Amino acid sequence: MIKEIYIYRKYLSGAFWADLRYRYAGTALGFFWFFLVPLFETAIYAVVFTNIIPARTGGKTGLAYTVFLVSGLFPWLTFSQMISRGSNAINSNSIYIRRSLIPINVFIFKDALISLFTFLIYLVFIVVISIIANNPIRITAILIPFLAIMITLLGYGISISLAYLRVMFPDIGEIIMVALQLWRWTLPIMYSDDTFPGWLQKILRLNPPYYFIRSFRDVLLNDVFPSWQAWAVMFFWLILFFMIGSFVARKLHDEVKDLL
Amino acid sequence: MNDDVVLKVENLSKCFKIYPNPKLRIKEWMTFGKRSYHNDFWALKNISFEVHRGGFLGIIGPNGAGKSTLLKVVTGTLVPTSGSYESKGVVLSLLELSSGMDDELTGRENILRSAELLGFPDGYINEQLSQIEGFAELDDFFDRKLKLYSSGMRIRLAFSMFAFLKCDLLILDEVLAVGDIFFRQKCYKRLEELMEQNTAIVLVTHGTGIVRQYCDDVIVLSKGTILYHGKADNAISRYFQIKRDQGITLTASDTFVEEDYVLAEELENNGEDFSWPSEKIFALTPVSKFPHSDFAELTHLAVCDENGKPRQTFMQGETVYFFISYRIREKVGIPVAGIHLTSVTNLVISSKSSIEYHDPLHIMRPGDRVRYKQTIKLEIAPGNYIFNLTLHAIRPSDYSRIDSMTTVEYKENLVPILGIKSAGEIEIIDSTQSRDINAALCNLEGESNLQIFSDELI
Repeated sequence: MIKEIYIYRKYLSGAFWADLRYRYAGTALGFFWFFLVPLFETAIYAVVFTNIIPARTGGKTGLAYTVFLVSGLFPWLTFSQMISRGSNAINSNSIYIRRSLIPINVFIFKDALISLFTFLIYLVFIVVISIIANNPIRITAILIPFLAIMITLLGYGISISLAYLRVMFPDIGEIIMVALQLWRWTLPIMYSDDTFPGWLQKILRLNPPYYFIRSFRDVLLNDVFPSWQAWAVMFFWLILFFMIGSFVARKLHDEVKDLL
Repeated sequence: MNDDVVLKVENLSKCFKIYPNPKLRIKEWMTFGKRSYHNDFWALKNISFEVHRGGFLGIIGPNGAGKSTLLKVVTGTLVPTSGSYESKGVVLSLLELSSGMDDELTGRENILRSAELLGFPDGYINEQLSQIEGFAELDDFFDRKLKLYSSGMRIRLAFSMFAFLKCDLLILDEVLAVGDIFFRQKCYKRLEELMEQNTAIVLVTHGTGIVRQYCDDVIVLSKGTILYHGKADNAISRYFQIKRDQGITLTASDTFVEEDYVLAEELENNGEDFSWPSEKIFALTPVSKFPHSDFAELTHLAVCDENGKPRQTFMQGETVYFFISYRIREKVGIPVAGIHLTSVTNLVISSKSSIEYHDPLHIMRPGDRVRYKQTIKLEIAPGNYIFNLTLHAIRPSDYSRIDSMTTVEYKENLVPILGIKSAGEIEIIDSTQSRDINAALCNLEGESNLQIFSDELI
């Protein structure tokens, strides 16, 4: 898998930049949309949860809540974007996969790179909001890029299986769209689970992205280095999903090519 | 592998699993492969052949014979179900036009990028670039974005690139069927040059003329198997034979015996009788999907040759027999049945009705059946033709004075009962006798005389 990506690194970088350049091609604001979309999303949630629906935010309102929100929302957006794009990678690149010898995995990986790039933009937001809210950025923040790679890889691992299955079962595309909406609310992104009863917290922690998002929060808000248990769980999910992904890819590769 | 061989294919088979419904795939997975819910479709069965250095292999066959699948397997985009293939040196394939090219890059950038993807070093392609540019004759467009190209320009660009990259085997799929004739000629000339440089070429085509002219080795593919492998002339005649037999092979499970084609029982209210095929032959063309009107419906349709065998493909000059039967639902008058043959370009080739043949006519009543037979001698150019069916009625009072009517008046008095557009298709192929070759639209009767005078006689 890594070898394939290395061989096609030049193609990857070319396709990566082309993708970014043309994503908002033809729009009047062009590149600014990369910033406007997360800005609006943050604004909507911040207004709704501090002014309209009082949420279980641990008493945070206004700017304090916004900092709390973006520390969870942006990792989540990176992850969900990885899944929604990555799971469609085979379908959307079918003309290239059908005609050329470029391995399928390269196309899914390209979406991982794009997700990481969007996180970079989110990072700018996180820094700006932290400064405005007077939330100091401490030394543990150097973990942020690493955690971003981790959560993107989690989405990438899950996307591999989904991308192959989606070719055979087009229904999966619709299911993913609904599932991502539901999934967002099962994670403590907009709310805090600190005040939840113990049994409910235990259930929430079974959610694969839970510890990834939790670690972001710990690092950004609490200046806490994630516990070794958190690391263990994160690596467990990564390894599990990559194993499932490579198994599915091996089993379905030939048939998926026939179907394109 | 012998050094002279650039591609060796051995017992290659390719099977596609066809699931009528995605649910069945899940069902099959649930049983862990113990039960199967799919149909196997063997696109290729036991294909073996070799391509030699500098050789030109042509692959011909009807649509759906597996030609493109074969090329896709050989170029590695599809994985064979069984068997193997081995290629030597650089293999380039131009399977689909401008494969993998980026609309947002210019022609020049696309060539650089494609060459890089194919593994050619940077220096090499820069040397070739001027030749490619010259060959493509794209002028200013060479440095414009690909999205501004016409489809013809894309072909020029893609072919020009592949034609100047050094390779041992070049695989082309039908690409030269498009594009203007001058560029096509240039392409073939370039292919000859490549062959002289020891590049082997595999070409999939429908153009038998090209095969005859260039290919020293031809494979005729039909239903996934090699029907013939050898000299071009023999291959072409086998290819045409498939086309001629197509009507019969469609119904290979049924064998037609002489009794299937018997004289019909005397038609009711009809003093004359004419031959009529059996129900078995009509069963081959289901008519339930055809439109019907309040006045009539189509119940039978058969297209046969003079022996009563159902056919779809005819040689130039052969005679086609149409057999049509309608059931009448309302009292409508005297029937006028017609068949209209049109070319692919919607040119009406033949449009005749029963009235022109002075068939005996009677008033149609509800429940009546109308049988209609028309024969057409197909003295027309090779190609595909579509036939439309019409049924009109004419009032008995009008019919009695039909000979004194003008054409316009006659047409105004026709009452449409039922019209079926695109009821079917027939294909006309070249007759093999060169004397009969008739490239024009149709063969009109006439005479021609030619004499040669020598000086002494004058």
